[in-house]
Amino acid sequence: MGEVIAFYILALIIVLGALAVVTGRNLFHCGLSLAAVLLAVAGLFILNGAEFLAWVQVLIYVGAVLVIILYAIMLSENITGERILLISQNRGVGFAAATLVFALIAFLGISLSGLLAGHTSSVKDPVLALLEGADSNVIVFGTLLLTRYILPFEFASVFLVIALIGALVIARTAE
Amino acid sequence: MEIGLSHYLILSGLLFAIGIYGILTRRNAIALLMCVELMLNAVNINLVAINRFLQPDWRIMTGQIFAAFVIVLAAAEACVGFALVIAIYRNLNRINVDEINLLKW
Repeated sequence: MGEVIAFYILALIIVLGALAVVTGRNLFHCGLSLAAVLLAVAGLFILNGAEFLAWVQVLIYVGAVLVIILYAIMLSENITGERILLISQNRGVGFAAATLVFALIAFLGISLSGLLAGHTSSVKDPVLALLEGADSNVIVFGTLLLTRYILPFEFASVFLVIALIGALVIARTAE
Repeated sequence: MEIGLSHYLILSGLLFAIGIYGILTRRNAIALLMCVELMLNAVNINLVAINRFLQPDWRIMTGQIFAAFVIVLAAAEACVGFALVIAIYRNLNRINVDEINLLKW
């Protein structure tokens, strides 16, 4: 029962916050609504037993990405000193396309969850031998990341360095 | 009444559709990037929920690890994207994407 209540509260925050992000007039308020959405998504992760991912979401999204967004908003408003009011255009086309996409995803989702409802994989995963006695989400996450997913993990670190240097080069002022 | 996989799939579909609506109607480049973040979060909800409901052993968290890589990708995208927006804004003094038409012939 508690999960039902928590799910509906978080879903309400997510949907209303996302609507505020896409329809708001003030860009700064849109950024704050985005923070609410991201925190509610972290709550959904906890509901699904992904505690470590929830904290990663709070740290990286709310802590880093959102701060970058707010910096970009303030920089772009303060260079000219005029407030940017948001305008939406092509509302009809956007609404039609969004409805179509939602209908498609909902149809696929309902049929998929119906199809796979009783499905359980019976294959014994060899990586389970490594996780003998592991009892917390973080331990399992770290073990998997440094054994089976070591290659993507290392690639992600190189990727982040490339992105960081690229962003610095792009945003640098020409002298 | 119980929360099943379809609830999460429909919620993430709704979030993704709202992101699509924002992408199609907004003109401000920063608002566009915010809508991309919304859509990436919808994908993450999907990955985590499917991992929970279709994998009976909680220790095999492939979906969660995939979601972590999506978060890494989103951080890199935000970093480079906002650097581009700031550079364009500094050079052209414009932030609306339909007014940035230097490459349009």
